[in-house]
Amino acid sequence: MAETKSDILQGTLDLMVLKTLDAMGPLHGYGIARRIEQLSEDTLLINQGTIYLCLVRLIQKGWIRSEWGTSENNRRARFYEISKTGKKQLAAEAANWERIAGLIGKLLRMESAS
Amino acid sequence: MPTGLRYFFSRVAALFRSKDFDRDLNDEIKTHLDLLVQDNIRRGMDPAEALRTARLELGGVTQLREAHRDTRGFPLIDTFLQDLRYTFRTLRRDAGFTTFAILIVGLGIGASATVFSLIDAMLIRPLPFRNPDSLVWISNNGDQTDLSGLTVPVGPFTDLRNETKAFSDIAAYFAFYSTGGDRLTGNGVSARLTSVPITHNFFNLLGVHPLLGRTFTVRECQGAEPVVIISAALWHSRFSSDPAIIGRKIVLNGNSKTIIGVLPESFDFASIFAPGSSIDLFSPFPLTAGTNRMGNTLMMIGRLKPGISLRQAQAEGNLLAGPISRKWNRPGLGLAYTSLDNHVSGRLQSGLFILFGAVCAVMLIVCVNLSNLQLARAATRQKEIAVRVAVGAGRGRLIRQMLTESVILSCVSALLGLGLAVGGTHLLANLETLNLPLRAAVHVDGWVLGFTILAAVLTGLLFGFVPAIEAPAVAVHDSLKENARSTGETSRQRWIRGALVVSEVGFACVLLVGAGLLIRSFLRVLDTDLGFRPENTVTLRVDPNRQYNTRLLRNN
Repeated sequence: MAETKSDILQGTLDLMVLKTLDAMGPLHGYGIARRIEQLSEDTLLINQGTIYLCLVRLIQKGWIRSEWGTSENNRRARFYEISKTGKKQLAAEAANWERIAGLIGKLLRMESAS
Repeated sequence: MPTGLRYFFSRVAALFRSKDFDRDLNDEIKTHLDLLVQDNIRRGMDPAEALRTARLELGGVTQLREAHRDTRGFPLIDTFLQDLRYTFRTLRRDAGFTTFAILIVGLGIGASATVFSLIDAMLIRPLPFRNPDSLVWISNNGDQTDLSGLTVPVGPFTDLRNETKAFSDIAAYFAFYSTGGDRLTGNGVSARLTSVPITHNFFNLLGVHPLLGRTFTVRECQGAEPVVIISAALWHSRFSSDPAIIGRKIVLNGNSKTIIGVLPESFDFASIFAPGSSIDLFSPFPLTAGTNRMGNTLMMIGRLKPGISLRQAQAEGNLLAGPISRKWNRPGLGLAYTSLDNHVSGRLQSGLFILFGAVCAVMLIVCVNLSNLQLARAATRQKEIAVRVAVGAGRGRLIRQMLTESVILSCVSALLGLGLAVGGTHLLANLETLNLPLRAAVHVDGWVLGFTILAAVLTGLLFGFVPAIEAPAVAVHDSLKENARSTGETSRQRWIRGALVVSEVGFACVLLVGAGLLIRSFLRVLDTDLGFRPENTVTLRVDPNRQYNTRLLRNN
């Protein structure tokens, strides 16, 4: 486990979930949480439950859909999948993210005057 | 559907499907926890350790559930719905209190809504004419204030009409029409009708278009042509709404007259110009030298040209009055302009406001009464409140809950009050003996409805306010103790209830004194010496035949 906790913005988590679903296809909540954790290589520490707040928000916005199915351990599980509008949203958000990240990067690379 | 809109509706929908959402979330959390434990065991933890870590990783389940509820819905509305459900449960349990409260608040709201609908009909709603704001009541402000002092002769009227630049037109009616002065004979029982002679432009000026037929022509108003226009009421009652009525001849006072028009239902001359009477038909008033000799006869109404103010018109009137009075040798003649609106209901304004003030005082008494009752109830509900505080209800939440309760109570009462107001206004509108302008127009409309809702919410907040801020002050510790069945009132509560009672008595005194004074002046009116004894006397009207053609013959 990492020593520092990153506070992540709501919108950032939304973007991560959307991208994960886009890349991996249908997943249940645990799958999404696990995948994000693996990718972040334990630098990102959130309560895994937070994922469900993000998921219900995305469903209500119509960016993902869900279907009930059975998990690997034979439990009732809900599988999430990105929708068409979700894909559009992801593209827009990703572009936006890159732009801001680029800008912040440039700002941080500025030489100090003294 | 745009995302924002879709998101909004989903959240609203989520409010009503809370149970489904909670069940689904529970299942998901269970699966999640299960999978997490399995993975942890696979990584080499023992089962107990695996479960503990899994729970840590997932985070607090109760907090998650709460956060989920807040994310998917609208937290404010959600708690409001909770309060609502809780309120109905409490009110049902306390049926006696609820019935009593609904009854007294309902009566109070009913009374104030009825009075407000009077104010609405007279002061808020515009007169039922085209552009009523530009209509002006023109009276002679001579030295006398009786009817003859307020009217002008035909000559000055025609002069003013020809010379004015401020008015687009001026019309007039003959103010000395006699009530019941026309006898209608033929087809059925004879009837006494009231007719008002008017100038040809009277209806055009007001913007009243006849339902059938036409209005008078200029020619008809020069000589006394035998034509009449009848009111919708007469058309319905006497002529069974015959659509072919135009051109029909009727016999009035033994003379044959032709009906040339029927007025619309919405036009009620009496309700505006002569409250308390009913006008059945209109005849042309001849503007001739002959009628001019009758002296002051005409009551005038003018329509201002667009952009001209009442003050500008009055300035012009002051200039014109001098030459006109010299020309017609009427030294006392002057012209006073009031807006028609003001003329009709202006003198009632203060009376209406006093009445409204009295009703407000009644409402305040109702509120104070209920406040007191609520406080007394709060004492018996201490335990319940204490439990709610103990499980984490904040002060704000408790206050909101109490206020919701009283507002719901007063809103239910408002339903009852609205029913009473509908009945009350119906009664007022049909009270023939009530000498009130626009009486028939008194009814419950959007304004009254809005007023009722406002009154209900305000009442609820008012009588709920003191009990609400008092409720959380109850000591949790004492109330939860088993033996503390009734802790009794603290000195602070006693003080508040004392203050409420004092203010209640104060309001009641104001009302009582006001009502007493009113009754006293009414008794004075009754005590006036009329010069005869009005007990057991009746008035009746005898119409002698034509052969009694002098006053002397008629009186014997």
